[in-house]
Amino acid sequence: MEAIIKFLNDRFMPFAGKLAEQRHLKALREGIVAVMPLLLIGSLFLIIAYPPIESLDKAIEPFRNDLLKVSRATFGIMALAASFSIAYSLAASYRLDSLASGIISISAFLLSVPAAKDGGLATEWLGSKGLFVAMVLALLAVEIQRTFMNKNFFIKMPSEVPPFVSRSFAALLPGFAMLFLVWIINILLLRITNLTLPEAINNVLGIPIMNLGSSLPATLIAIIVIQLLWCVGIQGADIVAVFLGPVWLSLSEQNAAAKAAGEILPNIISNQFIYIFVFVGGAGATFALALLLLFNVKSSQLKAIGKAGIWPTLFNVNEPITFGMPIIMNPIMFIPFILAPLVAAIITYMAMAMNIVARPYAIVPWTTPALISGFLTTGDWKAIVLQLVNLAATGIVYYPFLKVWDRMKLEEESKK
Amino acid sequence: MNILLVCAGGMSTSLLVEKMKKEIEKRNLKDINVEANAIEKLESIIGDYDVILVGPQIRYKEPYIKSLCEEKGKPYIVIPPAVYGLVDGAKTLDLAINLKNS
Repeated sequence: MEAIIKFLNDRFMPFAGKLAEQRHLKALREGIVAVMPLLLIGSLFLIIAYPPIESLDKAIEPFRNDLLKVSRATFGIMALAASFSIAYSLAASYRLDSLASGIISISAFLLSVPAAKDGGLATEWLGSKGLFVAMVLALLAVEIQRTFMNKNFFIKMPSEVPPFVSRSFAALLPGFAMLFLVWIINILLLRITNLTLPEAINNVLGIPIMNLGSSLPATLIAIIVIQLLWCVGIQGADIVAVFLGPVWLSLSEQNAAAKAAGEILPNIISNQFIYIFVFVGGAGATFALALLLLFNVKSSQLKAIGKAGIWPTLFNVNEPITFGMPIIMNPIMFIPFILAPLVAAIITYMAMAMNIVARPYAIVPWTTPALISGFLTTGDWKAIVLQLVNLAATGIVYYPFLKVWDRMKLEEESKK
Repeated sequence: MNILLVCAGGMSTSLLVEKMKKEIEKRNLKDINVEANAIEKLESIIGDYDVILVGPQIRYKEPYIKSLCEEKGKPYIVIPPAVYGLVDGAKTLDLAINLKNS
């Protein structure tokens, strides 16, 4: 056990930290986080458009299309918005003109998007379908801009010219190069392979990553990595989300789009799967543990942690418990801490795969309390039951280990 | 003096900020101001604060935080996990005051 802790702390943490700090990955993450408010607003309208009660559902029907306009303008432009925000974040990290980068990136993204049959813009690419395209082009646009700046290859204005004018001239050459590149690649690709650039990016990058991200085994591995990181006291979800955040969110967006179109929801694994059904109470699914700490321990220190921890836990913030109990650096608690979210994930997956519980479509803030969150995100009262089942199952996982730790703490306290 | 606490989302540090504010009131320290924010915001707001306290769950970002704080000449410290877990406002406040005076 000592060796594992040592390995996690000395080798794994610096490695994971470096990955999480990697400039491009960080820009992708920040860019996607910037889109979240849109998705939360869109979800609110989606919930109203499809109320979970039948009589309300009938009453709302004449207004449904108007309500769904908001989801189309939020979920539906996720990739377009991200093409700006990702380029903006990356350019800012290089201390380049981030506004210019964002604007060029949007333009390059739209330039690459295939035309619809009637010659207009194929709007489906502006949503989750175009997310990987937006990511690739945003990073490329900034890298081109950076290369031009480093090589001093831009139009310099005399110093008397106001800064905002000279800045727009500085963005001219790299912007032109980026758009020209996208334009020519698009044409050549279409001639040679009969695929547009976005289709090619999706085939090579988007679809394989999405298939992997939506699979249960990959999700279980992601959860194990998150939990292992937390075992040494590191915000694991934050690091893993650098890679999987965009995938989980676009899986969520596919469900939202399907709901708005009145189709069957395609995905079980999604942003909500992780944050609403698995990490109930925070990473490690510690809600049940918090209740046990509150009602079922003898050690006065653990009782105090239960009292301090229950309120933030209600909103899925559990640092008082993970650091206070502690779970971190505490090998006795490692096993249930890793096992509990895995159990919750498998139960949730089965319940949704067998269509016992509806799949999530609305994105609610991760701080929404359990039971309310499950209902809001699926519109299905059975999701509340599922969250209760998960609560019981994770409680059973934690119970024996908590008892051992409680006894040790009690002995410690009686010696004092 | 302005104290900033940072963690991943600024959520769990804001719990600690509430406790610190109570402690400040108790000790009647009128000129101390405490706030919490997400680590992503640090670079843009660091100028407004005198000391930076870091939640232990993001200590993997320490190299980044260190270089940023050195560049701006601001002292920082990673809050010890035990203090953080007990949401100990008094100890955290002492930590910040000592950091400022050292």
